[in-house]
Amino acid sequence: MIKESKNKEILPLILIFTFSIIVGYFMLPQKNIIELMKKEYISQRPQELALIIKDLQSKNKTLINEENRLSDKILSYYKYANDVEAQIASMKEELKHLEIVKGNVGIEGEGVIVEIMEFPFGENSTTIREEDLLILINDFWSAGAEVISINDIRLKNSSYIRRSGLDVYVGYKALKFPLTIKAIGDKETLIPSLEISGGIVDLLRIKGIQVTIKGEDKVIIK
Amino acid sequence: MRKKLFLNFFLFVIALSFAYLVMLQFKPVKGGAYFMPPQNVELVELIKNLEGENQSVSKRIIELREQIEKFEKTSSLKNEEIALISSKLKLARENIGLTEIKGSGIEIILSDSIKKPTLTDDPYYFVIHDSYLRNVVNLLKYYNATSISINDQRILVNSSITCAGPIILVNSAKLAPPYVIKAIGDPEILSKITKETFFEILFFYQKQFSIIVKVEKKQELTIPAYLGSVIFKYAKEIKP
Repeated sequence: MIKESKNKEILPLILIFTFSIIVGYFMLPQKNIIELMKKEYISQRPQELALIIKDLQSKNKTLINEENRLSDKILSYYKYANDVEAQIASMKEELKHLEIVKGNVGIEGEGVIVEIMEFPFGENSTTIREEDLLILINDFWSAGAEVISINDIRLKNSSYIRRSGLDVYVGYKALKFPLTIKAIGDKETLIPSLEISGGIVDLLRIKGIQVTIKGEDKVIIK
Repeated sequence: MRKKLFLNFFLFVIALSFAYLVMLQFKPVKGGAYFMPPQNVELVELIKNLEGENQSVSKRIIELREQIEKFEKTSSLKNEEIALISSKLKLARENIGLTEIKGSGIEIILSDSIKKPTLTDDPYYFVIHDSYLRNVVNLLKYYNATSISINDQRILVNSSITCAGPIILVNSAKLAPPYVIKAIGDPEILSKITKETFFEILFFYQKQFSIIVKVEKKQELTIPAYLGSVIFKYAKEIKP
């Protein structure tokens, strides 16, 4: 009689235990799949994927252009292999191109001019943070800006942006407000990318910082 | 009586384990974040193709750059002026980031927390964000880093670092944690970065939320060349 009641108590437990083991066996690999999904595109929203595709397509175009430019350069080098003067001219042309990219030659082109004014004093004081400026400049680059200057200081590989008290530093130079950011690139892409709802410009305006964005046919950066 | 209590406790543990497994299954689907819409299959296929194509063009660009440098080197032996321009070209390419660079510096590793956030935790503090990488790059430049890379993506002035869901895009390349940031420069000066308020916050998050933050001085680091294009479509030299 006692043995029978013991069996009655243990049987459901054994059943639940076995069931849990089976479920656990199937679910644990699922955890690894989910981890993998987080690292892969498959877990993302179609809108995010569309942005990635757009970015990759634009990179693809510039990569192919660069490949063609380099192939042409090699062809020209070989074509003038026995003509020293022509070879020197071809190399000088390449050097000029690199100096433009490096930032040693003044450039112009269509783009945008953004003016930023903060108000550090008074009742409704508001200031722009270092982090905000980094996001803003990053947004310019991701929207396809080719060259950027802040208060006429061209950003180069070594440029950093820091805030110290009321000053904004780009490299060692302290800049005064209003900040004027010039960017050369496709203005039709740059303007909507900066004006996007919920973007950094939107957030700065909500904070009370004055931001004006103007598209220009000719922006000069020296 | 004690036996019954023990059995109830046993049952409770089993139910708890089961609930944990169920949670693992359904939590990531919450909010649709990791739900796979059918059109994703096509889009992901397109992304993979574009990534593959970009990778092969990048490789080709590296080969072409090597061929050009080799040609310039050989021509330098023939003429003095060519030798002078050739050395200027080499220096310009190094400054822009078109060549591989070796030297001493520091290595910073940032990675998501090893702990899973509980229901009461804010998951924001358990992951590495694009803003962290932007701040680190900016600070490294402040401490005179001459060349920087993140997961072997060379950082140039126009490199954008943006978040796209659970991944971070750098130079349009998909990066996942751990993020290994290498910077060439004086290791003593570069390591002062840890005294910055931003790093104090990172170390606090490390202590509190178990994100990974490692900063190490290195005597030998290799930073790869930039794989992308350096052509301007809109910016032209100012005409006199």
